Amino acid sequence: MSLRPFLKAIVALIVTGLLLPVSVFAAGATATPTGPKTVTVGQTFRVTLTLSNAKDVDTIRMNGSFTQDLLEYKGSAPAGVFQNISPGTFFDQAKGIFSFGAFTLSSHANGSAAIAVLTFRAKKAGDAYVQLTTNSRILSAGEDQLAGTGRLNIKVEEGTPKPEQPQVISPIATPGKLEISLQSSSHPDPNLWYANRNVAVEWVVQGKEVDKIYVGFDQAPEGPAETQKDSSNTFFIATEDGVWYAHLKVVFKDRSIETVDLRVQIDTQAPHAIVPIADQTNIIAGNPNVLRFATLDDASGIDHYDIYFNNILVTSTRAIAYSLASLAAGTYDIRVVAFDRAGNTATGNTSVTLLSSEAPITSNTLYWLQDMWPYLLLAALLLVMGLLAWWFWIVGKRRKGKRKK
Amino acid sequence: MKRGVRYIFVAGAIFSIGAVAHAQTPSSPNFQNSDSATVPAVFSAASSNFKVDASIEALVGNAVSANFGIISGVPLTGPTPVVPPPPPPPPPGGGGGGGGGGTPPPAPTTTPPVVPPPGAYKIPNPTLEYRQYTFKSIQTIKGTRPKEATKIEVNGSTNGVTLFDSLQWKRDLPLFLGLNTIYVQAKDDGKGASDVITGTIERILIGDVNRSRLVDDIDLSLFTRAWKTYTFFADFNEDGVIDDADLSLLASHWNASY
Repeated sequence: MSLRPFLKAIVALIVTGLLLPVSVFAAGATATPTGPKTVTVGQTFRVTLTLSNAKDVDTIRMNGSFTQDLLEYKGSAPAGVFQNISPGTFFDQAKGIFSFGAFTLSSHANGSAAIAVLTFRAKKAGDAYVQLTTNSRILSAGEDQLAGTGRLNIKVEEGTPKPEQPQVISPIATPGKLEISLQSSSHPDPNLWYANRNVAVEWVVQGKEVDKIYVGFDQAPEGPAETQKDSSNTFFIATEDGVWYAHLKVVFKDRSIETVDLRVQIDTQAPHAIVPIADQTNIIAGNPNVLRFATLDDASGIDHYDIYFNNILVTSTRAIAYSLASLAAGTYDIRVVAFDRAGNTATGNTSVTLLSSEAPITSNTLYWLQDMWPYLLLAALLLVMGLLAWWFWIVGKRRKGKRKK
Repeated sequence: MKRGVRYIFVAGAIFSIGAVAHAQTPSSPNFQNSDSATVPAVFSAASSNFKVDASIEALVGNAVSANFGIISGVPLTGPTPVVPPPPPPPPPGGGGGGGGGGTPPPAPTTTPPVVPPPGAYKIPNPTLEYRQYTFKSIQTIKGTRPKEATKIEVNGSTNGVTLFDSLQWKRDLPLFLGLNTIYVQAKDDGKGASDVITGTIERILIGDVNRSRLVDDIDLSLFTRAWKTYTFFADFNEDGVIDDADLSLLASHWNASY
């Protein structure tokens, strides 16, 4: 029996082992995007970021990139135990990058778990991807468990683009032209956030004979719509804050089917508490000094901050810091109001004192008295002596008067 | 009667002169006394390198976990300063001379020895109390002062120092991020001065739970572990509770570094 095949197998195993990425051997956790492999132009779809082999994870940071000319980043939402969005969460459509952070203040993630849902819309046909980069983090009590990240390849196929905005159709039907409109009078703009969980939806279908209409309301971009309706409107209640979709499925007499979806964004919760703070207080006016303020909002995110000095609005800003270097000396009562994208607010206050010069030497009254006591004693003695002299002078004068009498 | 009045005046005048003479001690800010014989005996024992009171030193030992220190001539131990401390004021009587020799002496790590001016003498040391760690930009430092001291200099200045009749003093001290070294010295109105007492306060960047000088996801992860429990380094507003207010402060300092 020849040893050659056996040696070949050994060499192959060693070479394969050397070429495999280090992350495969690491015992840490991995993060991968999962979602549809094929979509059509105009389709809105979700990509779920999933952890594997997680151990007691409390905080995640998913940095990634996507094909910006084929995909449009529509938003992100935390999933699973990660219900709080971290600071520093953002996306840049022009560069095709995103950074999504989330954390949990209660139970932690173990094993396999969904951590976030990213929503994209296919813009153009082609080969697209969503990839997590290795500077992502999977943290447990400050320790990074990240051992590897994944990539999702998506084929975007040609198709009839669905309109993004609700379509306003002509009140007079054009014979032979199919028109379907799905709108919400309570949440008219699908790109805005509303602080209202009661969603009113209306629809118009014309151009073809309708057999049945089904509606649905959930957090999936494309349905299903399973509740039959005979009317042309209905109400839904969103059970929690987030991105919801109203779905309309029209079955025509000719057995053809059309579906329309309407995005509804709801945020009824105020942002987390905000605590503004100055880098320095009781310093000389004109020195570098910065007021810092920020808070988090778990649904729509923070839109802007209004800053008031002594009850006067000085600025509305999206920044989280404001320079105090140009302020004159004095004490300022500062109020910062954080607005989320649905208009919910949280307010915080602080006070800053700016000095005209450095604090002077101070001492309390008792200390002053302590050092002055010899003088006070002398003054008291002189006073007593004066009173005695005056009293003797009066008494002497009276006696003189009596003697004369 | 006239003679009686005259006696009273004479007696009063003598008593007054005596009273003023009695008040002329080194504790008065209004009289100078350069007589070295009046310097307290503690002078000979006091030095910046000696512990003044063992019971006070024990409190220093507890300071690490309690974030609170009281110092009398003994600096708290801590990490190596990255930011150089401000130059200390030259102590009039402190320090010993360096030895000669063939090899160059090591670089001084504390106050360089300064030749005391002619006629200088020592007064007892003040004490210094402070919190070793803080997130705040100002900390009230305080302590006791010897009865001879008419002023307390903090980092070479009496500005902002309040003296109390109970031989206490305090100062609201602005802090830079990182290590702040404090130099405290008691002085009288003459040439008397105590040793320079030193302490170190670390002002931590708000949000920087692991004190890495950067607020990032690692701090957020550690913060989640402290949520509704207690760890001083996650209690950014130092109110004893780790809650939404601290989360806001962490967010407002996100990605901040120094």
